[in-house]
This record gives sequence, C-alpha cells and structure tokens, in this order.
Amino acid sequence: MKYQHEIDYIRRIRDGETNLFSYFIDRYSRPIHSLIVQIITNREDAEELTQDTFVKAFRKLDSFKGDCSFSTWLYRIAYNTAISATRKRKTLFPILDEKILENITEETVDSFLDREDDEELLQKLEQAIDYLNTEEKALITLYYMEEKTVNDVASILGMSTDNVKVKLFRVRKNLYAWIKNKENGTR
Amino acid sequence: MEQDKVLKKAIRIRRSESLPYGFDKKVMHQVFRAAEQKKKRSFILGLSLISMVSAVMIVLAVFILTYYFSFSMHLTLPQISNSPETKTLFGFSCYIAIVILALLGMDGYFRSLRKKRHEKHS
Repeated sequence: MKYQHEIDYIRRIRDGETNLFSYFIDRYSRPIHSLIVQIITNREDAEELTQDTFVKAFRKLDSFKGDCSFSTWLYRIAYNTAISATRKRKTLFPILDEKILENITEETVDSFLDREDDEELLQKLEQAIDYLNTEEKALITLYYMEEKTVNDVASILGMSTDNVKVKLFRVRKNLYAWIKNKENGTR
Repeated sequence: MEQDKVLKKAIRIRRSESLPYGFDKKVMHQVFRAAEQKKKRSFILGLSLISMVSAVMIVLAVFILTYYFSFSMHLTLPQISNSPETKTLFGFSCYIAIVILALLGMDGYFRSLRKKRHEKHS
C-alpha cells in the first residue's frame, strides 16, 4: 500500500509537481544519511553526499521502473555515490589472515555476539567496525540498522542473495577476530 | 541473526549524528533548480527537434519540386519579377519583420524580469 502511494507520488513529480519530492526527503534523508555516514566518516562530506543522492534521484526519476521499491532504488544511488567518493580518496583497510578466520566457528561468533548488555563488548565492537571495508560497513548498516531483507541488501549492493549471506557471516567473523586480536595485543 | 542485538546497538551508537536544521529546505532548493534545468533542457531539445524536422521538410519540398516536378519560378509564376521595386519592398518587409521580432523578444525579456522580481518580493 505504502509502495503504491510512493509510485503515485513519483508519477505526479514526473508530471511536474516538483514540491512533492519533499515527501521523499522528509521520509528518507535520515536513513540515507545513516548509511552514508557509515561509509564516509567525515560529517560534512556525508551531508553533502546525502544531498547529492537526492538531487541525483530527482534527475534520474524518469529511469525508475518500479521493479523494486523506491527506498531500495534510493539506497542504491546513495551507496554508489558514497562508494565513488571513497574511491577518489583510495582509503586502505587492514586485512585479516584467512587462516585466522577459518579457525573461527559459527558457534563461537554466535555466543560472542549474544551478550546484549555487555558495555565493554559494545565499545570494542564500535571500534572494530572501523576496520571493516566500505562494502562491509554498508552491508551491516542496511541489514542490522535499516533492517532491510537479504534480497533488498543484495539489490542495493548489486550482489546475489547468497553472496550477501556469506558476507554477513564473514563480517561477524571479522569483527570477532579484530576484537580478539586487540585483546591478545597482536595483529 | 536475531541474536546479534549487540552488533545492531553498536552500529546505532557508532554514528548517531543527525542532519542539520534546514537540510530539507536546502535539498529542495537544489531539486527545484534541477527541475528548472530539466525543463530548459527539454525545451531546447524540443525546439532543436522541431527546427531540424522543419529544415528537412523544406529541403525535401524544394528537392521534390525542383527535380521531380521540374518546378520553375519564371514559368509557373511569371507575375513575380525581380524588378528594383519588388527588391525595395522585400527589404522593407524584412526590416519590419526584424523590428517585430526584436520587440517581441524585448517584451518576453521584460515580462520574465517582472515575474522574477514579483516572485522575489512574495
């Protein structure tokens, strides 16, 4: 129903009712900014890129076919805009040894991340997220924070659903490994 | 992934910055500017298309008349001659046409200027 309502708004904007676009800005500016700010750490840049995302979306509105929800389409634009900005800067991210990751079992990670009220773990996780690359940060933001489905995440990031699932498990393992590495004082 | 509540919490805490006041207005201003550019672009495109089609049609008409129907101005319309009188009349007509076009252009320009000023005040 909400989806249909947005389609109707898009049709009217295309017909010249530009002011209706404010609905989408009002509805999506915060989540879009949240996604960009996870990828781009600079606050001013993130704000500018959020702005660019909406202007790009407006310019490309004629190419929106409606084969996915407007939010998924908008998130895709935001992700691509943020990724293009990071490519220009050529940020390097640390990589973990594959052997370390292979030795970590799913059960270990599950029980590790099961402690909801552990403030120390929360702080460590916040720091460990910084070690993730841009794609991984976007992945966890969309899945955990924006509560997007695996299908939606796959559509936004241009991956297959299986790939998203694999990467999600890998990110959890990565976070566990970073925290453990820091605790042991090794890298 | 229901059990990853701590991870969800960490992501939320990590970047909880909000957008500045007036962000929506700023973006809408840019959107209106983009809409204006879009309108201008489509107008120019339409005008170019019409001009191109018109030019092609005129060329085609001249070509067909000359080569397929062997149209000759002197034979078909002998009353139109190239006398000095007609030349003066033609020159005068051109002058009037240019003056009218210039006046129309000035009228359009001043109207848009007035409209802009009116929008600024309101």
